[in-house]
Amino acid sequence: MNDSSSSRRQEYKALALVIVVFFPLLTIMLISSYGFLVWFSQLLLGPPGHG
Amino acid sequence: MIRRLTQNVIRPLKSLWKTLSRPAQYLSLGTIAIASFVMGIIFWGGFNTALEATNTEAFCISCHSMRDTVYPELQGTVHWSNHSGVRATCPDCHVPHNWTHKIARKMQASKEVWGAVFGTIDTPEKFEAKRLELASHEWARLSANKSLECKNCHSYSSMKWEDMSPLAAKQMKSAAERDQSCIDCHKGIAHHLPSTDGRSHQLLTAVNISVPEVGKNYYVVLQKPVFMNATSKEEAGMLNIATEIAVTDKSDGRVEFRLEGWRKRIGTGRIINEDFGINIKEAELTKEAAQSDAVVKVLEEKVDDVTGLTWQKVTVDLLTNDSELTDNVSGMWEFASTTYREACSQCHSQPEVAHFDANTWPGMFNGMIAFVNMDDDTQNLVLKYLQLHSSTYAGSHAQIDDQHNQSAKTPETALPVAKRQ
Repeated sequence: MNDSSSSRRQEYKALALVIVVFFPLLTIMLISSYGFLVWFSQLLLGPPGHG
Repeated sequence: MIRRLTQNVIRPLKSLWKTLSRPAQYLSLGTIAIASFVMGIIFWGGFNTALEATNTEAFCISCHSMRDTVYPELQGTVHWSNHSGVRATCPDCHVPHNWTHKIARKMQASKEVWGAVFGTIDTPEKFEAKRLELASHEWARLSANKSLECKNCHSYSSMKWEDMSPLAAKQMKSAAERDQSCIDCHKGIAHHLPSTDGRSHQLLTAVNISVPEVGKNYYVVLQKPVFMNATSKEEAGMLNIATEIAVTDKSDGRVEFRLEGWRKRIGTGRIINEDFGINIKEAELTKEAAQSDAVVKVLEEKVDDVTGLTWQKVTVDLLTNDSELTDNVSGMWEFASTTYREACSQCHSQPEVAHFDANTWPGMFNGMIAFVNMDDDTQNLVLKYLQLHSSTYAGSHAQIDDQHNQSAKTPETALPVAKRQ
């Protein structure tokens, strides 16, 4: 009982950690770095054109 | 230390990785899929909600530098209130609507957060000092994307030419043909333009200021007050910029001068003009000075056939401060010419100076002055430059110069009298 319930808890904890904290943070960091990348490219290449 | 680190960080991570790297033993695939799917929706919804929250006016003006400066300025404009009841909020114009550029703009805001934390622009004075730089960033952005943010609402193809004045329709049509950027002409439509009060100070450095000597002619570099006597503090009028005066005497800090010009014999005759029948202002006198026989002497009278008005040739004897006079008027015309070209070519190819006559220029000029930001002195200088180089005088320069040389050679008058350039 001890062994199975503790590893069941571990699986729930792992899932929660990954989908509530880890992936959202990773996504925000990815989007931010994409934003920064675009900004820095604009610094080098000038502001975006039209169309 | 290392043991504690192993115990508290590395071991849990290891066991987490162990759990994650093998197939779930107790959680069903369905539970994992549903939980991940729902969390995905919640996250993306939350992300966009947060992004939208930073895209509201309330968020923008939550920072003092926006609330106290550009925000009140917007409130005086058509983008704040108008007959259609549609208004633009900060992000409508200042945040790109396309996702990639929007995210890039949000990241750029990290610089603004930095500025807010370290107080780069925490007073209205600091904001004014930075205004030109900040405005230039927005101008560069809107120039490059041809005012995309304006065109999200305004489109050339939906403009109703018939409802515009003929002049506006003409300008707008040629702008539409080239798909021109709106801010090429409409800078300052939603916020104050950066102050260019420094222009007239640039003028002071563009010409060399002379120390006036009795018996010589000088030009007024900046508009300056005139006085009836050497000690009076009460102003008797204003000398216009680039007006030629002949210095007749000097006293402590002031010079006595004689000005020659023409005025209309109507009203009190307060405005002295450069030439017969032409409205190029030399000076504006108070009623008292204009009607004093000691100040104004009438030399002759002539009727202008065009208007039927009688004009008087007059000399005006008054005093002014001995500062800001120059003997080099060509430097002033160069400055005016450059300013005219730079300011007016922002929106359109500026007309040849000699395209209009001297009496047409004031109306043309005053009709356009709202589109540029010139201080009062610069405005007056540019207008006078345009008038004196208009079709009225074009081609007669050589002649005028000849006359000038001749009168310089023959000292027939007791007093040097100001001659027209």
